[in-house]
Formats: sequence, C-alpha cells, structure tokens
Amino acid sequence: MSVRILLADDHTLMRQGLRHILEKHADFDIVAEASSGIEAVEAARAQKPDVAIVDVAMKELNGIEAASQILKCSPHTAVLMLSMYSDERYVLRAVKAGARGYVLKNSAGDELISAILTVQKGMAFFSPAVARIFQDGSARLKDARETSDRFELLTSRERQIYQLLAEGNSNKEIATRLSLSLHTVETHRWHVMEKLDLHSTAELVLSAVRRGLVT
Amino acid sequence: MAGALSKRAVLRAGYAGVVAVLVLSAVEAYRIQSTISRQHLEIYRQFVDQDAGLGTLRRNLWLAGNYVRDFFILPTPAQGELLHSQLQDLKNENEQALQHLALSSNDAGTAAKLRKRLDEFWAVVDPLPRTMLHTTGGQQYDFLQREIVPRRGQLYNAMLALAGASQQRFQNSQSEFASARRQAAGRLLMMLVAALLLSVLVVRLSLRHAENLELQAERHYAAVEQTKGELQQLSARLLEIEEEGKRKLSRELHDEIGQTLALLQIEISHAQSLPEVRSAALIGSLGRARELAERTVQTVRDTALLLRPALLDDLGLVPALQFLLENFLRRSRIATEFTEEGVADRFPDAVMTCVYRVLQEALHNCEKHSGAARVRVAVRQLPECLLLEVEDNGRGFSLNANGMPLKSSGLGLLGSRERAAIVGGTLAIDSAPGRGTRIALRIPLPAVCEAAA
Repeated sequence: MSVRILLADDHTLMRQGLRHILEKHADFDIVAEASSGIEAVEAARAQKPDVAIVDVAMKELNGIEAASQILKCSPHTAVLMLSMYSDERYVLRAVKAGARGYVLKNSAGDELISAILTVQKGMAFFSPAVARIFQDGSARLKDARETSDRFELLTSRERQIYQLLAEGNSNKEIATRLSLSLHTVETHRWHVMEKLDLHSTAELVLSAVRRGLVT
Repeated sequence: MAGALSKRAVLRAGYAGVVAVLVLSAVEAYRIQSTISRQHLEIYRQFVDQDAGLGTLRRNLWLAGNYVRDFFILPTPAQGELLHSQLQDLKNENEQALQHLALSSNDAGTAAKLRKRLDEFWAVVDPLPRTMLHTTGGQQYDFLQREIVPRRGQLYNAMLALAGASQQRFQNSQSEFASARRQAAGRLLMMLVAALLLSVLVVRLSLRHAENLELQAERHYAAVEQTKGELQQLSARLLEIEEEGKRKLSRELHDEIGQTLALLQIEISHAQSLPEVRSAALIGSLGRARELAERTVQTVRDTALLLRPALLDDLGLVPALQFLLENFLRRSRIATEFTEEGVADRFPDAVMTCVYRVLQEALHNCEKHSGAARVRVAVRQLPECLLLEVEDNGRGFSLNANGMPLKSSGLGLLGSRERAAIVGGTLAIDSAPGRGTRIALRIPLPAVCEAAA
C-alpha cells in the first residue's frame, strides 16, 4: 500500500528536488503539490493525504498555521514540517500546531524518507541536529517565571513510562514489558501528560529530547 | 540684518532726541525763571530808589520852606548864616538825590525839567540870607507869596511828573515782563509738546520694531517646528526604508541562496547514495563539498538573521525577542533574565520591529558600554499598552535635560526614541553613573489597533 503525500513548499526548485527524492521510492505517491500555505490547506482538504510535508516559512499562510488548518480539515494526516531553521522555537510551534515531525532541509536528502515512514506509523521524528539543540541547555534563557523542572513532579514509575513512551513504544508494548495492565499504563501516561503539561505524543517526545532522556 | 541695525540706530537717536529736548526744556525753564526774577528785582529796586529820591527832595523842599520861615522870624546876620549853612546841606543832599534820580531814571526830559526848576528855586532861596536881612513881615510875606510858594508848587508838580513817569515805567516794565514771561512759558510749552510728540513717535517706532521682532521670532519658530516635523518624518521614512531593505535582503539571502544551497546538499547526499559512486576519492570529495555547502548555508542563515530574524515574521514578537536574548547570552555571557506576560504573537509589523530593534539597541549598549553582570528584560501586554523594560546593573551614565545620555554614544538610543515615536510610543531612560540603566518602551495599544487597521 502506497503512502499518499502532499508536498508544500513555495520554493519551486526545492519542491522539485524533494519530489525527485520521493519519486525514487516506489511506495510514495505524491498526490498534490502546493506553493503556499493556502494551497496546501486546499489540497489537504481535497486529497486527505497520509503525510503532508509542509515548509515552515511560506508566503500568505505560513507552514505552522497551515499545519494546524490541515489537521483540522484532515485529522488523520501526519504533518511533517520542513524547515531551514533548527531554532527550537520553530520546532515548539510546529509541535504545538500538531506536527509529528520536523526535518531540516539541508539534511532532507538523508532523512526525509525515514521521517515519512516514521510519522506515517504514528511516531515522532526530529532531525538529529534539532534534537541536539534541545539538549544544549547551556545558552538557554532563564525564564523568570519558569518553575523548577516539572520532571521532578513525576514518580519513578511515571518517569520509566515517560522514557518508554518517548522512545516510541506503544501503550501495549509498555504494558507487556513492565508486566502491567494496559489500563494502568494508560493511567500513568495520563498523569505524565498532566504533570508535564503535554497535549500530544509529539510534545511528549520533544520534552524528553529536551531533557536529554532520548536522542 | 542691515535693516535691523539702521532701525536700532533710528530708535537710539529717537531716545537721545527725547532726552535732549527734555534736558533743554529743563535748562530753559531754569534760565527763564532766573532771568525773570532778576529783571523783576531790578525794576522794583529802580522804582524804590526813585521813590526814595523823590521823597528826599520833597522833604528837603519842605525843610527849606521851614528854614526860610524860621529866618524870617528873626532875620539877623547870625540867623542868615545858619540859614545859609542849612540850605547848603539841603542842596548837597538834593544834588545827591538828583544824581541818583537821573541815573535811575530813563526819562531824561522830566529829570532835566526838575533840575531846572530846582536850580531856579535855589537861585531864589540862596541869596536870602543876604538880601532879606532885617526885612519886615510884610516884605517877607510878599516875598514868600511871590517867589517861594509858586516855585515850590512848580517843583512839586515836576516831582509829581517824575513820579508819574516812574510809576508808568514800572507799570510798563511789569507788563513787558509779563509778556516776556508768557513768551517764555509758550516756548517751554512748545518744547514740552515737541518732546511729547517725539517720545510718542519713538514709542510707536519701538512698539512696531518689537512687534516685527516678535513676528519674526514666531515665523522662525514655526519654520523650526516645521523643519523638525519634516526631519522626524524623514527619519521615520528612513528607518522604514532601512527596515524594508533589511527584510528584503534577509529574505533573499535565506530563501534564494539558503534554499538553493540546501538543495545542493540534498543533491550531493543523493549523489553519495548512488550505487555507481564507489570510488573512495569521489565519496570523500562529495562529503567535503557537502560540508562546504553546509558551512555556507550556516553563514547565509546567520547573516540573514543578523539583518532581520525570520522569527519575527514567521513566529511573532516573543520568539524573536527570546532568540535575540539567547544570542546575546551566548555572545556576552551576561546573566540574562526574561519575563513575558500576556503578550500576543502578532502586532502590526511596525510595532514588532520597534520593540525588537529597541531591545537590540539596549542589549548592544549593555554589552559594549555598561560592563553589567546581569540584565533583566520584561515584556508585558497591559490593557492599554505594550511595555518593554530592560534593566542592567552596569555602570550607567549621566542624562541631559532631554533624558538622553550626555555622551554622543547615545545616538543609538536617540534612534530608539525615534522608533518609539513613529508608533506613537515613548522611550524612557533612567540612568545615573554607578546606578545601572533602565530603559522602558511604552507603546499605547489604541495606536497598535489603529496601525493594524
């Protein structure tokens, strides 16, 4: 079964280059191309693609806005953000908007295929360069209002489950591995999300990457 | 300028003229006063002298009559001697009085007539002690009636005439003196009127001059104000153009060059993965090419960010400020604290740019000049305004009356203030040597809404 892909980038050459990479893969089917955020949302509404590859910085409607609108009209689409920037603020916004992955353009040649395959399976994917930025806390701002790390609030069992979730394990896999009932794992997971103020699996992974729990 | 100079000269001459006329009037008044009183005194003295002279003559005539009568009572030679000496004394006295009268009298005719009568009288009286010795009462009576009484009457009349003339002259000089006084008073009055007219003229000229000056000053002020406004507009426009240029260049660098380089990297990595590429040398070369492209992308991206961070346009104000602060922290190693309260992502472009550039300038100053160890940045959105505060614990500086740094290094802050003014905001700087620096940018939100509309 082929993966139906929407490709949105306002830079024509870049779009062609990416198409070139994707066409090499027999399972990928590029069902639509868009050169602006608005076009991308239209195409997603029409095609309901499996994966939407969306450039962060596009004219008219930027990629992050486009991502959240795409998810509104096509909730099952996995949005993979494509960007020139590794700045964590872009990544955070993208994740908040519902993106499941974040790939840097200059490493797209190596990572795009695996990124598509990963997000299409419902897991998160971040370029290693992005993940590195998250771990490098040395130059991070001291936010006057930020309390000490919420991670301290987690129990040891919750931390274990947090780690396993971040590594991409499903609830069921965790239940088997820790010999717990599925319901217990779900409860723990809910507590983790609550305590860390997280709203999606992608955010959970991102927060774990930030804390240096996963790479 | 020359016109103003000559006007001033005219005014000065006018003032001098008024003062001169007033001084002249005062001198004239004094002169008139002293002349009049001198003349008055002189005339009065003459009158009194004449009156006294006439009185002496009259008395002597009467005495002479009496002495003659006394002699007639006992006309002996001894009595004749006595009469002679008595008459001689009176004659001498009369001579003195007459001389005095002739001197003081301007009426020579009347005086001469009087003298003639007097001489006639004496001619009759003088020989008496000799001619009338031992005469009888009848002869004496006849003589008195015939010779003495008529002459004495004539003399009285002459004296009366002289007194009348003197009286007349006194009256004449009185009226002359009065008319002179009237003339003098008239002259003085004219001078005073001239002084008054001249001073009115000078005052009018002065007033007009002052009005002209005031008008000129007003015009200058208006011109300066207009120029100031134009300059402000110009600098606003300049800032706008600069910002737009930076944005374009940044976009161009990033979108065209950056993306093409990224694409180049993609192509190279694609080439590396091709099964045909087996040579280690080729793989190595491709790897280096890719690294080179990577480095260039980095440079282009950094340059673009330096010009204007895409974050500002893509993500909004707060992420851009955080980005700025993180770079600052990385570069300067100054402990940086950031607080953000209720700030929306999106504001009109001019507002976001203003806040971003003001913070940039403040951080730049903090890093280059303050020697601060800590900087605190807060951005807050209140119902009525957007507030940015930057506070450091550096060495601070003195402020001038406009609340700007004394040294010329404050040019950047001046630019910040201009930026604030463009969006209708204000920039307050609070600093003192050794007390750190606090900069507060305040942009009213109604202005924000208007700018957005």
